[in-house]
Amino acid sequence: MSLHDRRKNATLTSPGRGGAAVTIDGVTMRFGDRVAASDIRVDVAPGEIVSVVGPSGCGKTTLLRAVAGLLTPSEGSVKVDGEAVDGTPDGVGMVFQHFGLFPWKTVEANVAYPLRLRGLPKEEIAARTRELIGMVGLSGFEKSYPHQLSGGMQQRTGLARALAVRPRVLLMDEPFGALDAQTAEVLRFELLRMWEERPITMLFVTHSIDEAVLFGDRVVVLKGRPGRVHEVIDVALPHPRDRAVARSEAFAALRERVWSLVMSPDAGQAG
Amino acid sequence: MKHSGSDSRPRGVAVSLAGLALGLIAWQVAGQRDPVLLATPVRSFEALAGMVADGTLPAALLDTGLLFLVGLAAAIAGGVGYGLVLSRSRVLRGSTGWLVFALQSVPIVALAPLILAAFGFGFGAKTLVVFLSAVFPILINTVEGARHAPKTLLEVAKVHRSGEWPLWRDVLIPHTLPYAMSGIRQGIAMAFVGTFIAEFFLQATGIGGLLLSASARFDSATVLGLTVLVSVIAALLMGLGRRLEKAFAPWRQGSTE
Repeated sequence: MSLHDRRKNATLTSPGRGGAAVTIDGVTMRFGDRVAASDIRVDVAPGEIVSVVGPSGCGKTTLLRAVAGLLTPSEGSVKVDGEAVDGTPDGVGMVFQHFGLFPWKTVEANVAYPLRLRGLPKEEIAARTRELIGMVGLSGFEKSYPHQLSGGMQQRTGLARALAVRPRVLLMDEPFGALDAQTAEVLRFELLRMWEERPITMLFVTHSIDEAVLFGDRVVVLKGRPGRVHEVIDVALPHPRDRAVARSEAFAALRERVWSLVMSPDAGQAG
Repeated sequence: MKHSGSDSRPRGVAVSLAGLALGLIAWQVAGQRDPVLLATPVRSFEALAGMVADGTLPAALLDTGLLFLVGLAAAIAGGVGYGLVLSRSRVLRGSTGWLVFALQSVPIVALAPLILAAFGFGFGAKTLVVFLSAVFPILINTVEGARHAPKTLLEVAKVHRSGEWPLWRDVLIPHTLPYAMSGIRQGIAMAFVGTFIAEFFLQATGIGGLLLSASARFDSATVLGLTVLVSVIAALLMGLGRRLEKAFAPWRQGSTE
């Protein structure tokens, strides 16, 4: 469907990648007197993955919520494919740090949730739900409730639900932050493999510098209070981003660079 | 889980049965020493059997049961319904929230004669007493549950552009149900008390009426028999309430393990 047109559009900027363009244009987030993020500008090309890192309280999660339409910017604007965000745009999927699953719904019902809200025919919902659950490797657990599953399996469910909307943009809110290290590692490479098969735009908020470099075509470093864009780093690592890439020297060098940027004292705070 | 359940259950039942037997024996012995004030269990049982035979007990049970059920049903509908509405409407919460908490602390026993006098001693007025006794725990638990709907789940609903009705269906109602059920369990106990309050004042009817007239006649056999019957019914109702509470939240089972 529309994904094809978007692909055609996308070829102008990055061949072979789908998804929507995201424009964050001078966004300032204010809550009463507190300013959480100030004058953020980031352009995400269709099919690009942009990681956002920064110390706690730099406003990265707030920024993600503005893109999701959950919060309205106090200043500036967010556009998805040129359209101003007012409520969550169609085709924007979100993965939550603490999974955001409905504890009273089974895996199946959680994954089917976006499809049911759209009022799709029952057979189509069933077929697509089955396909999605297979895609994230949860076949056989359709009837399980979230509390019966491990954290990793819960986040697989969360991922399947986010993919159910056939997203143009995936918003990742520290998706592996609540998982143990090994599970997070496994899920990272699985998600990367899925992305290689069908590249879509991703905005990836994370605490983990490794994760930011591994996923990002670019890494945006936010700093200060309120958070501002401190630096944007191009990640010229090859695709597919697999374990070999993660072991490379180029990866280690980029990782160090981002690390030192995040850890350096706030130079840009005055400006 | 199953194991400990099947181990401890028969033992628990055995202990309570033994306690019950001891109590009955003590009661029988005490009753034989002072048969006027304290009728023996045997005589109490005979009194109950007599009332079943002449039809007064079944009729009274029906009366009381109907009053209890209608009052409780109204309290559940009103408490859960208004509780959900209150949780979604800041205006209503601000304007009537304090009133709910103020009314909750008013002892219904004190108000019952006034209510009965104002609304005419009939079934309607009695139902109102039961309703008022039971509605507050239900209402307050429901409001608490609905207001603490997890923020992430509300965000999930918003990200998927859920409408207001689907938001209730998928998030608010399922989340609130267990809280409401705790309220209903408390409400069952309160409605039970309320039923007897309603029956005791002036136009005595039902089991309450039988109790009143028996105690006026110093018929201790009937009074004690009815009292035991009432406690057994109350215990059964509480058991039912707990069952209901569990049955309405299957996803919670084992979540505390």
